[in-house]
Amino acid sequence: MIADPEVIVFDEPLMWLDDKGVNEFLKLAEALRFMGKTLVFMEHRFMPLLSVVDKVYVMRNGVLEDRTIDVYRLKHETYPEAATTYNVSMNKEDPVTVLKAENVWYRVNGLNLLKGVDLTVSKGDLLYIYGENGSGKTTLLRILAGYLKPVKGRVWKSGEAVYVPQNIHMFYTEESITREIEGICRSSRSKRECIEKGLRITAGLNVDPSQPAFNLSHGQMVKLAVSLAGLREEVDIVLLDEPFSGLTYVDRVKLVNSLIGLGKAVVIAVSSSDILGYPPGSKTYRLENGVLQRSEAKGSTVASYASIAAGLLGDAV
Amino acid sequence: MIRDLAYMFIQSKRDPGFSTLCKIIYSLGLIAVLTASRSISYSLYYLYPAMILSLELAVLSWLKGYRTVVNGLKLIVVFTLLGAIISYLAVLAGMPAIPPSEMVTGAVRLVAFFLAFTQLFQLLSVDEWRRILAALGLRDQAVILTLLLSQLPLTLVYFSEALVTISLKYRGRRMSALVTPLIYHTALLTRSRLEALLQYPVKPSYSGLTLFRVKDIYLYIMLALLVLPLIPGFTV
Repeated sequence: MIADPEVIVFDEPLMWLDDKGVNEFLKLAEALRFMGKTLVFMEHRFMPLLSVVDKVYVMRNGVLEDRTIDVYRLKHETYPEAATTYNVSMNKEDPVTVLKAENVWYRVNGLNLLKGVDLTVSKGDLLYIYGENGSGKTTLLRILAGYLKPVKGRVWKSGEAVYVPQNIHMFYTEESITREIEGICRSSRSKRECIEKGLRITAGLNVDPSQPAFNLSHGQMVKLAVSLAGLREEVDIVLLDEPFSGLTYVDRVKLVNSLIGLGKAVVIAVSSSDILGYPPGSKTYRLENGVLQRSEAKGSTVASYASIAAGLLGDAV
Repeated sequence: MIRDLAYMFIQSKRDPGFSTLCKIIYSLGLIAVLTASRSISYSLYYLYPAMILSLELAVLSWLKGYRTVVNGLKLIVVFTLLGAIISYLAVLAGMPAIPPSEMVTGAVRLVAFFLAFTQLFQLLSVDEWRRILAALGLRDQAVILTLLLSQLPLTLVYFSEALVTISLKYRGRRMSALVTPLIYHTALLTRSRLEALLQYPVKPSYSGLTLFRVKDIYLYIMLALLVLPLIPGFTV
């Protein structure tokens, strides 16, 4: 603001923000508007911004369209609760435990980041760990993955865990997607089947396996990483750190549905509450002040947001 | 342990009240007296490195708290243990063993050297480094240094992220592969930084280097006391 600009353009300002950060940003936007500034937001996660904007444009295939009336019409339509969603219902009668954390404590710089965390994950579970930025979600994922050692308590896993980082570029290491698949499958018991499955996944995602993964869009990179993470049959648990950052609402729903399709236990750390409770049957835990507690999500907003986004973009959820 | 070592290179948040010149003279002076103390009289041979180390730890403890002292003591234990292992291996190879007193003194001397070196980073702020470079006519390099130092913590975070991801992805094998995403990410970040610099070309303003502040006297007196035993003919 030093240069006192008339127009301020924000490129995905909500991408890395937690719910608290979003509210603070909205207050800032209101203050800037009060100062008479013109604000332009480019954003996938557009729903929170509707309260501060005058116009909504949709950009598709290089064309910018004014869809202000449509977005408010769609917003006030009612959507059936998770009408187009899956149910997480695998092995509910006889759950097979794949991961168990008991009384896990972790200290950083003399502060207890985690205070006696208990968590049990069963095969086929889809579990959200919700907390603000800096609440210790990533640290907990790393402890569950077996990479960090807790100062107290223990973590037991039946099989292998794979970690998909928030910064998705960190997942890819090879010059082509084929090489990525070969690298992951190298240590698999059934190497050939693993590679064939990987190539089928790339075909399903409509990506060229001879290209480097770094050439893909952010959304495609996330989807491919998640699919490749569950490629080896030895992997029981897929741990994802904020995988929804930078994804459209439609892609968020699609990503969760593809995670269920993996047939593995999935633990997702999130700082935005939009996704919690999606799909029905998923579990939500809240990490606050180092304490992890089961929390009941009151129905997810992401499915209705995805329907609005799909209505604007002409996409299918 | 590695994180503790990394903290030894981070500047103290509080202003110690010394001039830039004094901080440079003090840090380099400690390195110089330690180097020169190899030929010190026998009576002070064991005591002298401990005196320097005590001074360093006292200054660092005042600036950054007791944690630095604990880290320094940890380092002494590590180096003494390394010395003991090397000594044991030397005995096995038929060479004479190093006396334990030498082992401890060597470790103390090494840690004193290490701390003297880290004090250049703990005492001097990034702004002071920039001003030093600018005074030497290296203004562009000063901007680069600032960008580099501001980027370093983020790079370490990404390194840690890549390390966890790759070790689980490849079951602890092919760890060298983590270099690829880090290089890629560095290129992306460099582009973002350049864009930011082009859009907001804020020219850094350099004020002059401080040459003297009253508190400097304390450091100069302590340094002078340490130089005294090195003067030929000095006896205790």
